Amino acid sequence: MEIKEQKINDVIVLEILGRVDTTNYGKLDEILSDNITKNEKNIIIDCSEMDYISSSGLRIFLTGFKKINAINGNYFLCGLQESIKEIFDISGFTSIFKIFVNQEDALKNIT
Amino acid sequence: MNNARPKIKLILPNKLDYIPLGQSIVREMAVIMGYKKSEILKIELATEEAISNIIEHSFAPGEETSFDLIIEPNSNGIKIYLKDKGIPFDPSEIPKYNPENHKEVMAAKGLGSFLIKEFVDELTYLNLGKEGKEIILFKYLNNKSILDVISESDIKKAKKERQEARLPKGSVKYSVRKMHQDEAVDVSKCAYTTYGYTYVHEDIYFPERVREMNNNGELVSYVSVAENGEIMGHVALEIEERDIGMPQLGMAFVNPKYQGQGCMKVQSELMIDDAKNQKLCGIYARGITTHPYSQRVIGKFGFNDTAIFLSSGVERDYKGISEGDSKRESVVIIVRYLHPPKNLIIYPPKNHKNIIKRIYNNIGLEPNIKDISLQEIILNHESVIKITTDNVNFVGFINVIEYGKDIVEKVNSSLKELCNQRYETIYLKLKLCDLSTSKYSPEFEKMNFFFAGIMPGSENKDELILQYLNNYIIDYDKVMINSEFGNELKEYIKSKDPYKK
Repeated sequence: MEIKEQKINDVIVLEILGRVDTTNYGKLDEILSDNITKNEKNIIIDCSEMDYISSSGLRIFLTGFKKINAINGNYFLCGLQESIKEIFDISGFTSIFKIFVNQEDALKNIT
Repeated sequence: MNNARPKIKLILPNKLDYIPLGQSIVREMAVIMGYKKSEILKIELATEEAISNIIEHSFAPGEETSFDLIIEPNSNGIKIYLKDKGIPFDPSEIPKYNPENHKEVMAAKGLGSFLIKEFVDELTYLNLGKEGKEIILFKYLNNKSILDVISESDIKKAKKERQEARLPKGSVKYSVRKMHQDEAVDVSKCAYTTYGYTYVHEDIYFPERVREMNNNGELVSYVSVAENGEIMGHVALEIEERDIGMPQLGMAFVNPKYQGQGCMKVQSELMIDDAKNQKLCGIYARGITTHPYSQRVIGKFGFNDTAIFLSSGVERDYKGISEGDSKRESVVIIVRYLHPPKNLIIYPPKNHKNIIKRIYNNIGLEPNIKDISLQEIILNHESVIKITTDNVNFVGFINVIEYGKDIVEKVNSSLKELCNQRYETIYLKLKLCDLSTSKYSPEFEKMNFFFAGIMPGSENKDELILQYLNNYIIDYDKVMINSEFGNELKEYIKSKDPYKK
């Protein structure tokens, strides 16, 4: 897994490339936690290049959501591949996260 | 295409770093077998969840050991075995997860086990006592269903034939024989013409599965064939993996436009004769209880009732012959001995001794029923149980393979787990030829399991079946039984049901 991080205005965009699984979810957790510690309130996770996620990764997505939600920030996902979207749907995560088709759409909706 | 390939066995250290290694072998095998990309991801994911469960929960902190990952590709799909000798499995410890419950989703506890269940077609937990435990994942190869290959005009034709089923017809010449390999597609079409897409055993709609199952002996198909080569009807002997020596007569249907030609009788008689020649102990069938029609047909071949599995599946609309309006349906187990056991010794629990004797007598056998002193049974070793689930019908099975000192706790925790996972009915299979059954059956009944009947088998594989209804109340008036004895059995079962209306 590779994570590309950039800041667009006051929004942190994390682009995940590859697989999020039991062996590497800690890296994503670390990057999310760092940003939240730095008082970043707007986070977009771009999943368009993420082709695998297991329950360990899903849990980190959820942890990030809870933390940002607690400070009334924006936590958006975008670009979910069809097979990944199916995992989110089955797990009931689709109803929790705000999910956009692409990064552009997600950015437009940051309040 | 024959996908049978040798098994692969890996011995992996119990470290998370090795998960991708195991997964990559599973993935490459799935690629070789021809799974679609989306299916491969599900197999990979289920494998990761199952392995990480083992690594994180089966061993003491710091313990350095290994576990087995066995990949078994077969004609119908991939089977993945995970075997370890770690801490015994207690299924009740798996937290329940419901994607529709916001609170449970937010906690995400039990998510991994939930995903395994969602992404494989069959999931088996086997508790092996001293030998550890085994989890078996199975995923079908996504063969094309008949609906993927049938043309629009064939669908219209099938509907028309169903509508015209009751019109008078002239006599048709036909022959009856075993199915030829190249007839699998026509058999699937015939199933669709007869039942639409509602037949309980969905394998029949997948021509490749029908062909491969016949190839590897899981199924022996018999067909009625018209002079023009058209498949008029089909019946099969279904050989279950956990063979009790008593295959099932199933997948029986006749194209509506050929009903009344005697196909069912002739093809079934041929099948029974073949089974007799093969020295099979007997055959059983499952009769739907939303109507007595199928029970009446099977009764004509000398089959008699031995059990009623309540709430055993989701009710299906059998093109107008179903009259029930409940959401779940029950089946009656109907058995015919072909070569009955010579001296069957059984140890039924005292409270069901009389009805069990009567059930055996009704199928033509006088078993040797032993009374033993319960104090004589002292068990020191650990129990071996097997848990399997049917995710189409939402039922679970607990199979007691070997009684041990912890059997009551193990059955209790397995029951709780299956209930937590919202399985509607849980069946408990107990060996009638094991004297511990007479001692422990009343203990299981204290958990609200109650009598379902018996499942005869060959070579002492006979089973006493108890059933547990997970918050489901049976309307016994809607359980329609054809035979007189079957109705007596129904009343007996009703009298034992702790939740009866």
